[in-house]
Amino acid sequence: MVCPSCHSVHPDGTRYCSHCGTYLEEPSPSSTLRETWLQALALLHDGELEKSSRRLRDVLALEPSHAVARTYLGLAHLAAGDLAEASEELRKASESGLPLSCLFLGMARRASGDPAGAVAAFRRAAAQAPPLRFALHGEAGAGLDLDNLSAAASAYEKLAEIDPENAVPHFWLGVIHRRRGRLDDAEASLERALGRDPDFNEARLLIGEVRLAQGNGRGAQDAFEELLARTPGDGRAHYRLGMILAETGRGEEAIRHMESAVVARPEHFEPHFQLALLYYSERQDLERALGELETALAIEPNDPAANLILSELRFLGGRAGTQS
Amino acid sequence: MSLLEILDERCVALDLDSSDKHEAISKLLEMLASAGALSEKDDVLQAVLERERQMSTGIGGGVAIPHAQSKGVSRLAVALARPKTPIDFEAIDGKPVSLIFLIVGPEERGGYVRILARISRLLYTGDLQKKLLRARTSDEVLRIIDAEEEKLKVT
Repeated sequence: MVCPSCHSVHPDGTRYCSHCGTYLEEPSPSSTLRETWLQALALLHDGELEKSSRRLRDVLALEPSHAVARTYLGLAHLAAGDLAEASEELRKASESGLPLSCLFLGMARRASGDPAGAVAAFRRAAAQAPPLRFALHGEAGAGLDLDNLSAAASAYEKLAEIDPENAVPHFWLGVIHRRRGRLDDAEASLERALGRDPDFNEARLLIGEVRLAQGNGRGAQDAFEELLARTPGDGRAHYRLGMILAETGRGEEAIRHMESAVVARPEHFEPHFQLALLYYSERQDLERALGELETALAIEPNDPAANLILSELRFLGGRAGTQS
Repeated sequence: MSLLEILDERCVALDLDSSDKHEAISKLLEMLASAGALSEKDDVLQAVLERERQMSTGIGGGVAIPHAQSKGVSRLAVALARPKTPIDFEAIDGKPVSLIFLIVGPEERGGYVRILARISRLLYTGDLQKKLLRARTSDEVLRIIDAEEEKLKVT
């Protein structure tokens, strides 16, 4: 039985709540459904998924059309990782037209690897309850899973309309435009995202990449430098700046950035590889170049380019040894 | 530095007529000399052949990337050839070579290593080799390389 004041659960027959002291009346037959429902909610709140599921089934036995209870049962299955059961209960619950059931059904289907089913469920949730923005996010995300860029873009455009100050839909529109090769549109969307949230690092990083693809090296450099000014030590920005500076003949600055990239992201292959190339090409520092290359190859042992350069540097090392 | 920046259209030979790797390298160097990239062609030829004697640059898969640094080189440059018939380059996989990139760089400068890495990356990550084998003109070769390098920027 459930305390009417604090909603804690107690064995049947308990007379007083051990938490708050409230007198616990025996449930009348008319209150059984409500009692069971409250117990189920309290158990769910405490993370008791199995016990809660049993109580929710009791509720559904008493009232099979209780769509909210079926939704919660689906959620309990979802939380327990039982995606098939969750999808089935949420599908049944969604027949009632409850927008939240459709929303959670979309989540369960997406987690089950059914993006097409997820898109349908999210779309239904969003149609029934436009304020359910997460449904549009879900629809767009599942659209991206399906590589259906038009569907994803349409959902993000709706989100941008509903929530004009939110940077996230603009960021994703930038991602989609970039994937479609529409670089100017991508840059404009990302500018809008940054206008709404100047600390949106992913957007700043992506705008730099888009500008690079546009051939605007100076603009890309500005974006990466701004990112570093806001988030010092961002390994991705150091790496990209290192690449730009190496391409423009500023080798020593490139080395400094690439060294920072290696420190920030030691588990990534590419900064070690590029640093090896820079050590040799800019300083003819064979020993350091070989060291970085060996580190890179420990991460990606089969990279053909790195293996080719390793054999070249070893050849050069052998030749230097012979000459000295 | 991109590959396109150092590959002159005059240094692209489709249907290169040569029977062995020595002759192919020599013809590629002639193209580079005509394009003004070499000051002492014979010195460079000796450097490339010496490098080949130490270790073949036939990297397998029908591709060779002979290269050398020499004081006879005035600037970092690349020549590209597609032999009329595949050539034995003593490649690591023993297969004859149907695509040759020759890289030369001035002595005491290590920039050619970055170009070597770039060519290797372009060959292994995209369709460069397949597209170059189908190209009909030098201009098309340059456009293919440009497009593949653009892809490399995006990834």
